[in-house]
Amino acid sequence: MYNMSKKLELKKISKYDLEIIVKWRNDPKIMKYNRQFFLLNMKHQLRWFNDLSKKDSEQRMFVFKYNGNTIGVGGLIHLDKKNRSAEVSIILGETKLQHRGLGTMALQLLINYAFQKLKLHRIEAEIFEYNKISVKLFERLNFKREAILKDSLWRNGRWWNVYIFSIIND
Amino acid sequence: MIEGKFVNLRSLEKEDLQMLKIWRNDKKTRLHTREYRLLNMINQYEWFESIHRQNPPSAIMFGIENKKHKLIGVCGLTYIDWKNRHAEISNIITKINWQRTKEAKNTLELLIDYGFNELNLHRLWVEIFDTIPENIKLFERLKFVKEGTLKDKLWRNSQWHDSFIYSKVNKTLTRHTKKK
Repeated sequence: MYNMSKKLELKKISKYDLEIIVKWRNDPKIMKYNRQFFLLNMKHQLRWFNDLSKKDSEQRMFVFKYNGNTIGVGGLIHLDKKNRSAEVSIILGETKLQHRGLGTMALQLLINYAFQKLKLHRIEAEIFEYNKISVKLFERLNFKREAILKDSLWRNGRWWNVYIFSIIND
Repeated sequence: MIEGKFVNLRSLEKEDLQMLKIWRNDKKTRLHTREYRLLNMINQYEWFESIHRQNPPSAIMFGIENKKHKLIGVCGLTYIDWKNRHAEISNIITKINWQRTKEAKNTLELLIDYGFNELNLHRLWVEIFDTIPENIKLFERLKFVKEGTLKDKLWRNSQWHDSFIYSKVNKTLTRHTKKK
C-alpha cells in the first residue's frame, strides 16, 4: 500500500545496512541538517538497531531502495500512539542522487505509511532555518510551518532558529 | 536550598514521591501535563531513578516549599539540552488558581534565574496546551514570547487540542570584564 512508486520503496532495515547508514550519518553534508553533533560508530549504530526491534520502540525506520539500491534511511520517530503523532526523519545518503524528486517520493511514502498504515493524525518535522531544500520539500507536500523556535540550535559559532512543520490528516 | 521571596526550592527526596503522585493524578493537573496514565508508585520510583541516571542530567527537579517549609509543589527543568543550551520548564503547584499566586511567579523567577545564571542555558521554553489558558497569562507575565501553535497536538476528553510554544531567550552578555 505504501509502495506507491515502483521505483522507490521502503524496506526493513537489516544489520547489513548499518555500515552505510553510519557512513551517511557522519557525512558533514548530512550532519549539518541533523541534531547529531558527534560522530557515530558501529557500537552506537548497533544499539540503535537493536532498540528498533523492541516492543516499546518509538521509532519505525526503513531504508529507501531505489532500483534495488539502498540510497537512504528514514522513518518516524517519537511515535506517540496515544495522541497519534510522530516526527518524520529522512536522510538521502547518496547525495549524488539528490534533486531527482527522490526526496519528495520518500516523504510521500512515509506520509502514506503514517496516515494509512499507522492511522496517525499528525506528522511533525523539525527543520533548521538554513535548510532551504527541506523547507521547500515539506511545503511542496503541504506541511505548514507552525512555530519558529528561536535560537534552538548552536552550530558553527552562532545561534539558529528551528522551524516546526506539520501536516494533519483530517 | 534556593531561596526566593515567597518560596524556596529544595531538593526532592524519595519520601516526597507519594505526595507528588497525588498531585500528578489530580484532575486539574492532568489538564496540562502530557501524562495520560494514572500514576502509581512504581511509575514514580522509576521516574525518580531515571532522573538520577544521567550525568549531566537531562532533568533537574526541585520541591517548592513556602516560607513555613511546607511542600506546596514540584518544579524543574526538563529535556535539558546541554549542547544547544535549552530546557523546558515544568511546574506543578497544588493551590487552586495557582497561576495567579505570587508563589507561582516567584517559583518561575527562581527557575529562570537558575537556568540562565547558574546552568548557563540560553533558551527556556514551555509547551502549553489549550486546555489550560491560565498558564499563558503566567508565562506572558514573565516575558515569555509565543513562538507558534502546534495543531491537534493532544487528544483529551474526546477531542483534539492545540498547544502553544512559548520561550524566553537569555540576552544578557555573560562575559565578565575585569577592572584594571
